Amino acid sequence: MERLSNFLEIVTQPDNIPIVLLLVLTIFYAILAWKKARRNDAAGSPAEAAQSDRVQVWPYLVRVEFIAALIVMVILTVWSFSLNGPLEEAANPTLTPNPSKAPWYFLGLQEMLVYFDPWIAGVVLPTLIIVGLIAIPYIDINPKGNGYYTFKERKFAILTYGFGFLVLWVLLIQIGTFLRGPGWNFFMPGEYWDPHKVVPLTNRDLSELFGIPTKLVDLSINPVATIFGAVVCLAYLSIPVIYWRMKRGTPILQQLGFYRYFTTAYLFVLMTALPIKMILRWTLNVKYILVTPFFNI
Amino acid sequence: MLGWLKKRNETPVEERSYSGVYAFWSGVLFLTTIWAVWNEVETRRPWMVYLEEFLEMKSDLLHKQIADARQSIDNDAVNALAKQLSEVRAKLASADAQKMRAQIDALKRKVVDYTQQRGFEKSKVDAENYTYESSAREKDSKDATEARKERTDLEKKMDEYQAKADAVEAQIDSITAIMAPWSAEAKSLQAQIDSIRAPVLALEGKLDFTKNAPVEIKQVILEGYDRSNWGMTKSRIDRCQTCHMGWSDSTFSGTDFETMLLREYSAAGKYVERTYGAKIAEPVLEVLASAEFGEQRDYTGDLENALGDKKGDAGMLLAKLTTDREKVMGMKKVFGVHPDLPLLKQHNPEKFGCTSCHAGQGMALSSVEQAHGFEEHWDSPLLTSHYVEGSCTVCHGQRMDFAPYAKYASMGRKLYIDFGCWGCHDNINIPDFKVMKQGPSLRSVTAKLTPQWMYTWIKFPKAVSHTTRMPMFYLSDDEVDAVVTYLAQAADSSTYKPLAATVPAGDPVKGKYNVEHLGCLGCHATKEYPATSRLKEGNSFGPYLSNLNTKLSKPWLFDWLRNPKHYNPKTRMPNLRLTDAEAADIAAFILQDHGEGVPAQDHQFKDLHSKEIADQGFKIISTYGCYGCHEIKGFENASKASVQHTDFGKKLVQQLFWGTVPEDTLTKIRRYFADSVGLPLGKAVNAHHDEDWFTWTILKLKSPRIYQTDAIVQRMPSFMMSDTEAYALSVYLRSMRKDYIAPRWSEPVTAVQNDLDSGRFFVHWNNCIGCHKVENTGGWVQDRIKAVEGVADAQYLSPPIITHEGRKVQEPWLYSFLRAPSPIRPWLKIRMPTFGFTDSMYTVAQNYFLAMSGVTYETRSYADFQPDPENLAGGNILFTKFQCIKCHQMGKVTDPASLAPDLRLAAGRLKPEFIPEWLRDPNALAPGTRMPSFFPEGQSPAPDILGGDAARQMRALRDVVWTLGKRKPA
Repeated sequence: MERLSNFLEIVTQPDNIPIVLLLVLTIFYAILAWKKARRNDAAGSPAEAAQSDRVQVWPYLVRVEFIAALIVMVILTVWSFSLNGPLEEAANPTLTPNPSKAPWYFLGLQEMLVYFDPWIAGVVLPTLIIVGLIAIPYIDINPKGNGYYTFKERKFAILTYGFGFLVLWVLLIQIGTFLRGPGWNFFMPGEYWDPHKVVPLTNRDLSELFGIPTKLVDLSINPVATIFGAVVCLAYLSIPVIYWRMKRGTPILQQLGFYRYFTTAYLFVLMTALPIKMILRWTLNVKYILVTPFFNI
Repeated sequence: MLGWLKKRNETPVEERSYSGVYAFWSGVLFLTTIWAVWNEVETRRPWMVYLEEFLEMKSDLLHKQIADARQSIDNDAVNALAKQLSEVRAKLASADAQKMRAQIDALKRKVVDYTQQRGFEKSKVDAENYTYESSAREKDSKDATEARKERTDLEKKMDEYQAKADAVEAQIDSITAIMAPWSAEAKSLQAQIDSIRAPVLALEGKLDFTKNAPVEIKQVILEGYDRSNWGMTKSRIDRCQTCHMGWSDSTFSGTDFETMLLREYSAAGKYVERTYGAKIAEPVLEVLASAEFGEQRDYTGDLENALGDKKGDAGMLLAKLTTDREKVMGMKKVFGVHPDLPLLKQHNPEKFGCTSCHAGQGMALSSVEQAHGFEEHWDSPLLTSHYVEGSCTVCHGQRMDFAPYAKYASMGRKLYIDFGCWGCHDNINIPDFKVMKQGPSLRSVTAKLTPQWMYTWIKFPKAVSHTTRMPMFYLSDDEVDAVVTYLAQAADSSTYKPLAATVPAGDPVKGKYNVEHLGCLGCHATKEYPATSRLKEGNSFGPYLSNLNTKLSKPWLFDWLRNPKHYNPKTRMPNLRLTDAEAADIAAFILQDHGEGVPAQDHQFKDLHSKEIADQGFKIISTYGCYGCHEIKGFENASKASVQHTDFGKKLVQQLFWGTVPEDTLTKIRRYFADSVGLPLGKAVNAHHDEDWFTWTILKLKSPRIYQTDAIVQRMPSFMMSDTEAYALSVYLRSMRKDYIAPRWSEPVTAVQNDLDSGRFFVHWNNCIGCHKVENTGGWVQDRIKAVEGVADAQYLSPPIITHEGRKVQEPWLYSFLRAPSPIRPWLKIRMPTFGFTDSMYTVAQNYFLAMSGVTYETRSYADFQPDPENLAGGNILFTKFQCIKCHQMGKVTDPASLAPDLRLAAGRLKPEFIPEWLRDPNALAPGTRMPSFFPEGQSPAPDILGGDAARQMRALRDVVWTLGKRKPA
């Protein structure tokens, strides 16, 4: 009972309402799309092909839009006066709120800060996200799936986007909102957000797991550890190259061509680096993979 | 629904009708809009409910008051006057009068007409004048002459119209004169009626005002009062009076209001109202109201009387009364008058708002909880009960007390001083612990106490002396062993040794007499005269005397009594100038077995000379801060052992450590303090765990180690505080805030206030008030004198009241007296001791006396004061007439019951201007004095002497007294 009330207290916070809606709506539309795609794939030809034709914008589209506007207005009006603005204490520079959370749409980025240094989580990865989204039209050479639902015909695109958006973006927002409490500690649903909760800090660098100390006795960086980390990183980054060498004869890679292949492959590999680091943290308490005197990864 | 949707989906878009959907959503949007308006004006304005209720109650109360007022005025007189008035009015309304009024109207119209025509002529005059002036300037003499002539003609016309108007005015006056007396009479009659009905009219005016009262938020803006968390000046806005409207409204006090509360909000009141007729209901409600709001007593009898033949209902009604108690009391707090209006005269809520004292979220209006700041995000919740006293310091600064207000805060402050809290905690305005210490010096402690006794004492002080303020440190046997070892070794280097090699035997019977008569009981309690307080004042100032036989040795005690400063130069124990015999007698009495001495435990010390154990002792003393209260060798430069208290009152719940105290325990404790002990606490700020500042503090004081965990060690000792003590201390701790309040809102710190404050601390610290009354407090030794001497009034046997010492005595005299007291009142057995004050302490006392009397220090020669020789003859007659010499006996002391000070001392002791002031009204300066008042209300009883001028006679008496002093005392 207490767990439930703890859980409800967080879920029903006025500023968490959009995040609950986000969760419900993304799941709903993902399932809807999945169902329609399955149906089309099973039928062999898309059902959308049977639906025909166009209607006049005026009045047939505009009237529906007008009604939609009415409904949105009703919802926004009720929302605006039935939920109070979530005000807290007067801002105090000597007493900042705990947890200090980013706006909900950035909580995914804030969650990344747990696993990466700010310059990666806050600068490099967001830039890559934007660059990757811009690049999609240029690297997607698959003409199928326009105007109808399908999975079979666009497996790679849908899986990659589903993973990148639903898991790495939406899920991280949900975690940041509902499971990260004071001190950015992880709290199970229903657990009381105790600001005094203490969790052991036992993270180590990857090199240390292999018996190579990161720091020398005078606390400077051990060059051997840096070399070790660099080797691991390079090995990871060479996967697309090896794959290219192995499979370059296949029609898909042929169609993609050298530049498109490597753009796609490196965007993909960098995206996958995030969950890999997360899993390493959860399972092996890995702090950094690469440690240099200038930056850490 | 689904079927309908499906079917609809199959219809082509062009053929679908959307009018139903459109109508539905339009309707919803319309209703939503109405809902939004309703939400704005009703739901979000709960304060309007209070306002409406207030106005309704007020008009009901006023109606009742008006009815009462109508009853109480002289209605016959009003009726008679009204009859006369109607006759006069009839005259004024008669046909003749109407005709005259019609005439006047017609004439007035004529006046208007003439005046207008005159106005027209005037404007023509102005125009012609302009033509004349401009032509003259342009040297057009022809035009100028013409215009001038024209102007003169027009001026004549103007005067004609004026004359006509004046004539008509005269006509009007003559007609008005006929009616004037009638109108005047009507007016005076109306005035008479109104003056009789004045109370009713005033109430009716109030009622009118109430009916037309605007529905509005009442706010007070304290401009530039606060500072924001970012250091910017910020105004404070208080809207408390939007709901608390009756705080200064006398309508909302008294029986009428209280019965109304019962009628509206209690089951008992509603029942009475519904069941009994008005005749019984009124008196019954009144009794119930006094049962609810009056003094605590049994009202069953009164209620049965009021109920008459229904008296069987009394028990049921009283039971019903208790059910809604909280609600009724709550409504009284909402609407009722503030309980201390005189205080509000100085702190007008219209100017200072409410939150400046009571805290809370002043600008919030959305709910009671929010307005009172009982919510998670508001850091200063409403201060309930005595915690409001913690706010005085915010504007007035830290003070010794705010008498007669803030009793608990002042008591808390005294406890803070007396328990020696400041020895370990840093705090503004409390003396530096390096200069002053609350406990005795331990520099030469081995000359006074045995290690075994010290061991027993430190282990559990209360077991040895039940009145001690020395706290218990929960030390283990080994730890106490180590502490005593260190203290014993530290004292080894002391050179102190009792002076006398042999001590006279002494007579305990005489010793008892001396203890009871010389003034020991001013500071010490004995078995016969137990302590009255736990504060370090009165006879609980010094140690309890009846259990010392197991503690002290005779040589040490004898030496101590003869000169306490020999053993401890910083002791507050004064020198009573005892002879050897007196000291020996007192020592013999004190060291008698009074049946209360606790023998020292037979503890086997590990090794009193071990350096290693002493080092352990040193560490323990540093940890627990023993040196905060005791002078200990080796800790001269140690800093305070614990945290600062300067801003403790502002600590937030999140900043307090709650240890492992379980939630349900906290809940129980809060309830205990809120209900059982009657000490209401603020509501929990952190509702999740029932945690608030008040509970934390009071619990910490009561049980200092409660928040200790394995990791967080706590060192505060237990003072075994009572609930009240802990409560008072927590009120004082709440006052420790370094809030910034703009200078224009806070009281400037004046030199006089500082003098008063230091003085109040001084008389408390040195227990002057144990024997002397100052500022209406102290003088408690009188109670013991009454008991010892078996008299009902002991003022004349007690040390004098010294409140007015500043205007009374000459500064040089006070200085020499405090250094070496000489008897003024030889009949007193109690002695003014020699305190051995330093000059700076003397200055504090002197400034305090001057500040209390409102006089400033002047450098002057009292010896140069010359009596007026012309006054002496008359003065001497008065001196004889008033028989001054009868009480003010000079030289020979006979009956102590009718004695007064030797007048020959006056010239060297008193300020010349004091004697006339004293003669004018002795009782005002020293309540209970035996000095008669010879000049009642400033009138002379002897009109034939010195022209009957009372002031001059008083001066003459002073002059006579002054000449007495010029002679050398025999």
